[in-house]
Amino acid sequence: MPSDTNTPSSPRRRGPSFASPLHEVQNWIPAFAGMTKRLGAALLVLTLTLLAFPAAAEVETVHSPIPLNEQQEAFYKDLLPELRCLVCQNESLAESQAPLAADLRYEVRGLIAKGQNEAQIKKYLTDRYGDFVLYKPPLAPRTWVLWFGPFILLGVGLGMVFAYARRSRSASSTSAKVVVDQAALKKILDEKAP
Amino acid sequence: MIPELGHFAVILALGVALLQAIVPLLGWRRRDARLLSFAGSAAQGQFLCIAAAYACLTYCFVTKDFSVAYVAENDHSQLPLIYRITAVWGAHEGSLLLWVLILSGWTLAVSVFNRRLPLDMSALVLSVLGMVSTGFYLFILLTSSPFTRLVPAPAEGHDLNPILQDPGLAIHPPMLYMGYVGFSVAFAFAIAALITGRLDAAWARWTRPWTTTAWMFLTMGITLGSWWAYKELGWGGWWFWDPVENASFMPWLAGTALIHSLAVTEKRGLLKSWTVLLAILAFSLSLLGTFLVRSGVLVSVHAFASDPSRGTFMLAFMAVVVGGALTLFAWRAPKLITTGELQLFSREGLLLFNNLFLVIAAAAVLAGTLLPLVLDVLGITKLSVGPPYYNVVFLILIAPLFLLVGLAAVVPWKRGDWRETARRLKVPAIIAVILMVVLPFALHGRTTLLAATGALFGCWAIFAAAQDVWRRVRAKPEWRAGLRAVPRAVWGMTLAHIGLGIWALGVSGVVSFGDEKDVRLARGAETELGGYNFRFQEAGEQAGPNYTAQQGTVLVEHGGKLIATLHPQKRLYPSQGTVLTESSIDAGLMRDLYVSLGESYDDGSWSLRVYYKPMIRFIWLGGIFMFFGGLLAASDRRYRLARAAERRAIEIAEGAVA
Repeated sequence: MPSDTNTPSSPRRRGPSFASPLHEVQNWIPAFAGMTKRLGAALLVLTLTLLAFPAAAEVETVHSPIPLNEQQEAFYKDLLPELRCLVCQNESLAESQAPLAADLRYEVRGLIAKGQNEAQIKKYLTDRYGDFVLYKPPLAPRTWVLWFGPFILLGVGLGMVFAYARRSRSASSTSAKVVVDQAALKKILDEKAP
Repeated sequence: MIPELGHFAVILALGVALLQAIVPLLGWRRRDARLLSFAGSAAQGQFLCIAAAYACLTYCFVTKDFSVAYVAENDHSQLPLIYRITAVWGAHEGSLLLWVLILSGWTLAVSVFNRRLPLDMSALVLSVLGMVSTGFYLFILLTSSPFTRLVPAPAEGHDLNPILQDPGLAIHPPMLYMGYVGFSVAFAFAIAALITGRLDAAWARWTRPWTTTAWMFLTMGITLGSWWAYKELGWGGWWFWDPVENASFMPWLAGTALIHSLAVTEKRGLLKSWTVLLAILAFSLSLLGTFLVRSGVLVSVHAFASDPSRGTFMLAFMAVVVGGALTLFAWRAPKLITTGELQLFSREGLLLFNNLFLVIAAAAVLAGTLLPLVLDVLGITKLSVGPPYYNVVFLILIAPLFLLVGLAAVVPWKRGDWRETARRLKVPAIIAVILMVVLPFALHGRTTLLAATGALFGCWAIFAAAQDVWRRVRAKPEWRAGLRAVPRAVWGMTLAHIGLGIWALGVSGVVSFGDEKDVRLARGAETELGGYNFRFQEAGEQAGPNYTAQQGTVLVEHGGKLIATLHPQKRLYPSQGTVLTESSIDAGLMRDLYVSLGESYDDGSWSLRVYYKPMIRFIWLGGIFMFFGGLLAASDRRYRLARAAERRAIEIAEGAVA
């Protein structure tokens, strides 16, 4: 059995693909009303399928895995976890079992087979689905707080630590621990005796 | 009748909590010991009320009283009894009831164990806890009562979400809440210290065991959550940087910083205001986590906006608690006088760096969790922040902690000595460097940069921590006496640090050498992964108590020998029409073999996901080490001795007055 990360799609989704919006598909049903019962039933099943996977209807659904060479396969495996399944709560394309994710996996394989590089593929996907599809947020003014914020904070924090240490050294200090502990004990004794 | 009693008990608890919040404050202003000592009785009364309410809801679940809306939504006549009991916290309203029950439990514990604290201190702590409780009772009564009736009552319940019908998830939320809510005690101590102005070594010593206990439960809760996600979600992941996970991880980071800074405050009387600020921060992040998970804002910002009553209340409550605490801090903290000198190369100096990196790591997680929400609310863009972000930023920020963890046990308080430190850490460093090279080859036959780094960090943490205990034992002439002479707090620290090392070994191992495969297998066909042979034997029907399952049988062979028979399932829960994959795992210390079922095909073949997960158990083993480390540290006899000494001192003082 060959390694195939692109799980073959489920049998019920094999069928003609409709590019038309759903309501149009539904409008066809009266037109076919006079036809044989079997065809009507088949159409009903098809319609239900489309209703269940509305998004899937927009893309090619017959998947035979696109062969990739070893290098491309490794690239594919590395790239997939960085892409988000658009219909799941929070799953990457690598993990998701959703039909739309299978379709996107298929698309990504196709792009890799065409020899596109990471930047090209990501651009292709973000042009269609927005930054939402990338788990690694792009570096842009709106994400500066994300990429630079922690390190700026680290710089400020380190500065404060060194300043604090210098200040505390310049302030004179006696053997603090003993003084504090005795004070604490005395306080306990004092305040318990009303 | 029972649900109404429950509802009434919550109202009663609210009343008692209000009194518990106000009366001790009055007592403190008037220096009236009777009013102060009322706090303890109130805490106990409040616990009785809320325990009764909780029992009422549990009773409704067990007796399948579908006339209660919350029960109808989360119970089912065929749900096994154990899940009927755990279903109480299966959704929003019941989770909150569990939240307040645990908060009240912590309050009760404070009132029992703190009897020998100075009366005003313990009363003020209870008063602050009463304020927090009041907020949550109001939240329950105004927006989220679990006792609301449903008319007409449905004949059948909607069932507990099948994904929650798992032992892992049955105990995960209570553990997590024990941790979350436990930080409220540290918070209350911090506020009481700000009010009284008494923030000294004794204060830190009172606060430490509470904080460590909360931290220990939170550690266990997160570990259990990770384990549950791994086996239940069906894709073999153990941590996804999901906002829900982050919600519990941020308080953990802040809490970890807090237990370290408390050590500095107790031993050296330094970093007082920083420690107080951290206690406020840890609890604020707990509240934020509760808000994120409970308001529905994570599922969809827009769903949240369309029914904003819960989210608005939570935000307002958070604003009051956090804003109030910070205002008090800004007003009183300048009066906290810190004496003593801080050398950067000393234990307290290194702990300060530890705090810095932990807090900034928490800030990075916070930014990654909140920024997508903020941008979405403002309508700017929809953004995803996932593993590729955290794997860079978070790892850079916590890497220095591994260097520090080795130094921490060796460098003394006040002033460290580079030469002495180097002498004592020579052996652990050499071992770590050797194992960095050898370990990946020995365990996996090859190495990667990540595996080598993980081995270096992990072994360094483990052997540096062990070195400290080894030296203490060697100091005694006889090893058994030596082992006994090591204080529990030191054992606790050592175990927790070893746990961190074990965790690092696990993470780097599973990320570097884990493998996975999606295959479509006909009956009798086989596939190979990680040197193991998986043969798909058959698939058949299997009936569960409240589901039917398609069950596959997969034989796993290694070196021609059968080592495991796995039964992955695909379950259909008819009550909600939910289909769940139930993975099957052959667990081992050094590797897991993990199979989950995908789709079936007309020709009788199935798609399967097969995973080889080396050393993944080390991740949770690390968490368990940290848990027991916390347990040992919190139960150190120093705290009990300190209490006994205080008790004697108080008795003497009281005797003198009488």
